[in-house]
Amino acid sequence: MFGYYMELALRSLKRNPILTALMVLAIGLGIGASMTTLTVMHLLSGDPLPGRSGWLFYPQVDPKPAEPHELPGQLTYIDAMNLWQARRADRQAIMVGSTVKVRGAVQTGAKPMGLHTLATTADFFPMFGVSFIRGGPWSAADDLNKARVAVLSRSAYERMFRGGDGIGQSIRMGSWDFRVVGVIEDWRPTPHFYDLDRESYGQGDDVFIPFLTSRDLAELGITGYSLDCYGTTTDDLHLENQPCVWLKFWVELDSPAKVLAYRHFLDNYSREQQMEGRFTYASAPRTALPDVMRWLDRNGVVPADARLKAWIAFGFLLVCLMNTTGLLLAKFLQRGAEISVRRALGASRWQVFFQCLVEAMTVGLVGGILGLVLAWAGLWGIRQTPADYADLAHLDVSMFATTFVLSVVASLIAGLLPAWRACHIAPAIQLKTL
Amino acid sequence: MQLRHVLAALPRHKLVCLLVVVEIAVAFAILCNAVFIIRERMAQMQIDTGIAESQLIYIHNDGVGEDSNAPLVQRNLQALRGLAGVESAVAMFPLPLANMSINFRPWLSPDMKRRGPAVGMFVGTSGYVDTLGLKIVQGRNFSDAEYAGMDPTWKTLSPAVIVTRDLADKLWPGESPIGKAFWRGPNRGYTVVGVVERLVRGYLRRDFVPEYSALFPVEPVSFVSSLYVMRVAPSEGDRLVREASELLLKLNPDMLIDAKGSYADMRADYFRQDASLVWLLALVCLAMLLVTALGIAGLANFWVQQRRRNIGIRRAIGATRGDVLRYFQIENFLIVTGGIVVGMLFANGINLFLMTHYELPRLPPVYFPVGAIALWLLGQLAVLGPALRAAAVPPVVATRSV
Repeated sequence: MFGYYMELALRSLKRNPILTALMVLAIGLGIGASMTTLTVMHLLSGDPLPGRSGWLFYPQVDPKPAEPHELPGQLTYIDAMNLWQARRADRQAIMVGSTVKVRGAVQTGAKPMGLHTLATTADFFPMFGVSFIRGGPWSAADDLNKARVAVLSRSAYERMFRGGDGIGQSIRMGSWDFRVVGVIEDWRPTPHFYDLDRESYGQGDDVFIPFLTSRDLAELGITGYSLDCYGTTTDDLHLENQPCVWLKFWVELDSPAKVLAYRHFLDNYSREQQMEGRFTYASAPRTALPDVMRWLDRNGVVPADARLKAWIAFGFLLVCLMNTTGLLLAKFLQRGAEISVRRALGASRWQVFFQCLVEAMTVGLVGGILGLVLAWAGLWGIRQTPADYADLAHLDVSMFATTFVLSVVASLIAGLLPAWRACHIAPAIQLKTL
Repeated sequence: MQLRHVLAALPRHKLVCLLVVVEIAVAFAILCNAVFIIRERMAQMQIDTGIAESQLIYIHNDGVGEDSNAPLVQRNLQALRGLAGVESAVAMFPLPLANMSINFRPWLSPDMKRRGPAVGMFVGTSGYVDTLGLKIVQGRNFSDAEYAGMDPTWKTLSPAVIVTRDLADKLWPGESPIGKAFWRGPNRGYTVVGVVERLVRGYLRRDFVPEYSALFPVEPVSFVSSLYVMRVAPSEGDRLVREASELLLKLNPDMLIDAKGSYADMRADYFRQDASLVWLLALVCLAMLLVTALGIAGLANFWVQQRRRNIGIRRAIGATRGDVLRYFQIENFLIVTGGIVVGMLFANGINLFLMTHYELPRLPPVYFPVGAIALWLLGQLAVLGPALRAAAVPPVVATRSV
């Protein structure tokens, strides 16, 4: 029976090849263009750590004197160290980045390179789920001992050691040697959520060293990409006691109860500091604990117009779906007579229904496949552009499935509505009007 | 007369008409907002940096490291000036739209109570104001003696500063800025010696005014050793970029050159993301117009087919071809107009939503008539083919059964 319906559908579509082509083209263009745009937007607004980001939080406390301002997006050294040492979260890490000139081992004769370097603490790697291909992270003891150890990204490691074994070897940063203890798979979270003061969609970090070591060797100049001082400073390298916010601090809290407890902890901490007179404002504690997505949102990492473009892509899809629906409706609404004849000849309502469904679905499916091809071509086009995120533009299966299903459902609705209508008209009356 | 016929017939296709009206409305709303964004972006991409863009080339490298190596900068600059075709060569930080910038907020009184807006810092070696081709509109350029060192926090030791016209107007409205001072620290006061017409900072941010820049003089130090800028004849740019980088590598075998080219390249690089998004949006708009036109044409086609007999009857009782043609044109005009009216509400609603949520500027009302005319034309164009086919239906059809 299905084969017969298929044949009927094809015959009906062939009767008007230009219009059929129009419908298929409209669906295909709609899916193709909106998929391409949505994929890019999805990429730009995407979750940098799917599955993990809901448990990662960014504690904020406000050390600045009372004067209306936004809650600062970074911490002072004192606050970061206090929160880190309190160890009230499951995991916690301080981090701050800079570009540092690094040389591979002298004997390999490597040229110096300016590399994105992150000074952080041991929890960084397990907290963000960074995977190692050689060696491992440094230990908590290394943090406290200000050990001169380093973890490299795969690409930095390969450039520095050119196939040789670099674990245990040393690299030179500034005028100090660091021992390589681990190599991570190149990690480029998009957006670069843990330090938003760098380009948000650029390369990942290449060298990781313990935070306290970087303080010990302050002349390395790792003071972040966005030093914000709110009082009189006397030194821009030794920032330990300067009134400057410059450190990022992330914590992992794996249950809502812990999140609540941590909020209380932050408020109490702020009150304590107010009482001690370090925080000079008298109002209620100014703290916040956004999770990753809220933090990105608050920083406008997805530019407002990128979101606007996502809306536009959705709107475009809507236009295409309505277009197809309109065309199919117009086509099927003419069918009253034909359906009546079939009904009069003994076809049941269900059979008529099913027949319309097959025809509509054929159009929807062919359009969907054309859309897939167009989306694939569109994404290929994006990969040829020089934008930062270009090489990340690949077909997102779940998003494609959504649009595909949408197009088929829309064409089904368009096909079924007239069929349903036609079925409820007594065949005799319809036939008389012929 | 025609209008009455059209209005009488429209309710017979309620559902399809409604769908087309909504489709056109959404298309209109999207089109207005998309074109608006495209134009905003393009305006930003055409920003005037204030420098002699076509005559500048640059070489960016990893710098000389420690301050004790600073004499190397002077030697490199001397060598670059020796290349045939190089009019001047300086080391500086940064270039406008170089995607790097150091910003500071000047204090306007020595007691550090009043603070100005964020200002982009430019530093450069002797002659860099002229190399960039900046026009001094008030006061004077730096004197040779004013090019001095920097402290460890990247503040210049010389008290001289040149500001842009816009910054001067902001900090000291209505007064002559020459001789006025601002502070970057308790013992870092700067006195304005000159005003340049315009200079745009290293990167653009929504919350920064691009034209608020200040220029400081500095002698060759390690901080300014990463960016060499040369002024050359535009036609010789490519050759000199190549020769200059070869020369630098010969003099400094350890140097790591990570970017080089003409200033135009740097500028294009800064805007490449915007450019690709503008393209994407423009293509989406184009595709949407195409789809809408296809939809209108397709529907009109169906309707002509469906009404062959009616058309025949009308022809038989005296309607001319022109009457039939106009019938379809008026019908299309009415539907599109309905779509545009609803679309204006949509467009305004979307824009209001975006204004409150994403700080987007208000959609200028001129987009409405322009968008309306565009969609009317599109509709008429799309319906023309089917309408002509309808006009060609002979009256004799009326006498035949379907």
